[in-house]
Amino acid sequence: MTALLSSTDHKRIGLLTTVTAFCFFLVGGALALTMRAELQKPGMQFLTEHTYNELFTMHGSTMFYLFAAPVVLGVGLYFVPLQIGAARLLWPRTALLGYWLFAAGGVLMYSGFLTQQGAASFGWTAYFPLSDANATPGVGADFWVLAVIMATTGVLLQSVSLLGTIVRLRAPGMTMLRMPLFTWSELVTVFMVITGFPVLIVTMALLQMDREGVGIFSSSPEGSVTYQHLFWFYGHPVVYVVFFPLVGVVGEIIATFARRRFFGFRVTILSLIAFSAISMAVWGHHMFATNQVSNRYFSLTSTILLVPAGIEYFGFLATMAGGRIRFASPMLFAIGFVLLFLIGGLTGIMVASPPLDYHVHDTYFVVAHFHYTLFGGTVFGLFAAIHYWFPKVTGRLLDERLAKATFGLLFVGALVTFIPMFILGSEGMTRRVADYLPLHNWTSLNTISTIGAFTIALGVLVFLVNLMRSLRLGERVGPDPWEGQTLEWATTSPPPRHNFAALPPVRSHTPLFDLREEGEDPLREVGLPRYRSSPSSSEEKSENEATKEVVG
Amino acid sequence: MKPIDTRNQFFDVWNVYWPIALAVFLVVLGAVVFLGLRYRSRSREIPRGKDESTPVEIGYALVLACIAAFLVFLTFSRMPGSEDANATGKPVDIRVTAARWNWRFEYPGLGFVEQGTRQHIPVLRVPVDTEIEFTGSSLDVIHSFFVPEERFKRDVFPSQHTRWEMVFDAPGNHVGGGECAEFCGLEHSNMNFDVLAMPRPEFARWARGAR
Repeated sequence: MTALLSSTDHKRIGLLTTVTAFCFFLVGGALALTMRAELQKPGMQFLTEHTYNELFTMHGSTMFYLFAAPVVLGVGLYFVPLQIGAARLLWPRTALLGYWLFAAGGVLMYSGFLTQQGAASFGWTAYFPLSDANATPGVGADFWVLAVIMATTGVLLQSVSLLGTIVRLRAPGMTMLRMPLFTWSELVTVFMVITGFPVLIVTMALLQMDREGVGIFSSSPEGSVTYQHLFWFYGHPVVYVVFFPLVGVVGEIIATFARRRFFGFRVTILSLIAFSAISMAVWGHHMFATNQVSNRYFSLTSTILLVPAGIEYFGFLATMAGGRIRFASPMLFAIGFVLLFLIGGLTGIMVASPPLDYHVHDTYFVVAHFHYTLFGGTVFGLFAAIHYWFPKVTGRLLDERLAKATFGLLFVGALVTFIPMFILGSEGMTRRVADYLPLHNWTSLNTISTIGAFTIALGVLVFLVNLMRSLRLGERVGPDPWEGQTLEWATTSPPPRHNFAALPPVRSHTPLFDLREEGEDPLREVGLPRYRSSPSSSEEKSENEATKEVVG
Repeated sequence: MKPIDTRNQFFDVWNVYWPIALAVFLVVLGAVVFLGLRYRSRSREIPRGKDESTPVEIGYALVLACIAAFLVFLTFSRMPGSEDANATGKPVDIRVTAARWNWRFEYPGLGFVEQGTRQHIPVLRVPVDTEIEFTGSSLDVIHSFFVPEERFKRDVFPSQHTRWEMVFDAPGNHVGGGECAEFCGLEHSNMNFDVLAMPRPEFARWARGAR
């Protein structure tokens, strides 16, 4: 145990970060279920307003600070060194310190529930002056501010380590344009982290000083707007931080399961870079309703994002076209990502238009919108990544039938939970409300949404069963069960301490695929035996069922 | 300068945006289903085909840029400076004061104050087809004045005065038709008001009585 918690092996740090973040996802999800149960009908059912406010604050804070941001870095710490043929992480102790800061920050944030005034209750954005010591007194809120500083610093440190690794430790032949799509997406993500996260850390430090009585934001009437600028300068890039790496994963999965190279690799890289650059200039679209930012400018920059986003989508579809597609579970989750994230993206273009945003801002429309990007995007992308890389990490396959059941439940759940929220928001139901008036007739839509939330919970439960079962009983596989294209498949599962016994030649961003195309066996090339070259018949059978699910 | 009809402004943009969004979604959904069925294969043979096509990608990027330009143009054309409301007569001033967790509406021209209390949900009374000039402020944290029927909200801040204009174009009594949209603490979800939009003669009669 001590060895696990203090290891400088990038795989252990990455796995530790990913698993810890996933535990926070489960807790944050439980908070969401509690809220959905309360909102099922009007009237306060079993929560007080104060508890409700704590729950949505901790739900949002958990999902951003303790789940989504750390998990994309955790997956990156595990797989980026493998993809670029590195034996280790540069500055592994920095990354390990990052893990400890993040994990301790999470514990600190939750310990707010044990204090007299409870956990923080001002929303994950902690808008000033609601977050000052007057409006929200209490140690729980102080813990929250400190915890955000710790967790965010942790993610920042891990990003620095990852950036150093990508710059310094690439294998011979691995030029920048031969790095796989996932590694590229992590690199671009790391840039956004390094640009945006320090601003939040400083802002939180200033907020805490203000809470202690030093006039920072409270020293001027504009202080509350200044806080919003600083917060969203971090807060908008972070929403791209938490899905960019998954765009990379999904792109690689689609390519692998279509037995092709990702279509338009270089244009996609260019679009990722452009996307992240513009992402630093869109923060004001969270503030249209304040009328204290240049609404036209931020509307323009936000709408332009549809160009790079559209190019990435073109890549997804063009890769499928002309391929030989297998619908194993990672591919299903990848397609789920493509479709659900699209709903988030399209409605995102709507909220980038001020005349529309004046109405839907701070309503359930926006809640639905960002849950399609965060649940449809981050969570589906993460599930795709887990189902894709589980055999690499454990040497065993997840059970395909349970995986497909998970996919079905999550996909249906995502639609049933969040589609009604678009209608509720359009009708004027504001977000962050513990209750709503019966006269609005919002009960049936809220009930449907609550049923959807429990469907998602069931899907997650099936996944956990699959995980526990497959860790012990899953079918054993060799280095490369999916016929992957990138270097992580050219080593044993799980990889040894220093990752590779030998590396194949790297002549493109898909070194293993190149060899296969030339009729060679990439595994023999690196001296590995081949355990399992074709999918078993049981998988074939469940593939049929899954196709029905997707098409139906 | 004519004032803005926030409701028209919303629908002018909305009625173009949502059909485009739906169409794009259906095209991608259709493409995923079609490609999934068409290219589903158990063959382990590596397919032949190009991995990139610069002309196609540039052309496609241009199409996307045109869509973005069209959307931005539409949005900008429906923002302040494009006023279209059917408003006549003298504008009515209303001062909105928000404080946790209630509203106060002052009519300086009429010498009338509508104060919400725990027992009394405040009513915002406005004449239709008249420019209403709001000045909003908060006594504590940030609140947001939100009237879903008019498709509009505006944040109000402590120690700041926010100004905005609205025109209500249809009479109606909207119970619970006003909300605080910016989370403001414990009883945020109860911070409602009613909106009573009256025909102008009726409002004038009420105003005489209020005075």
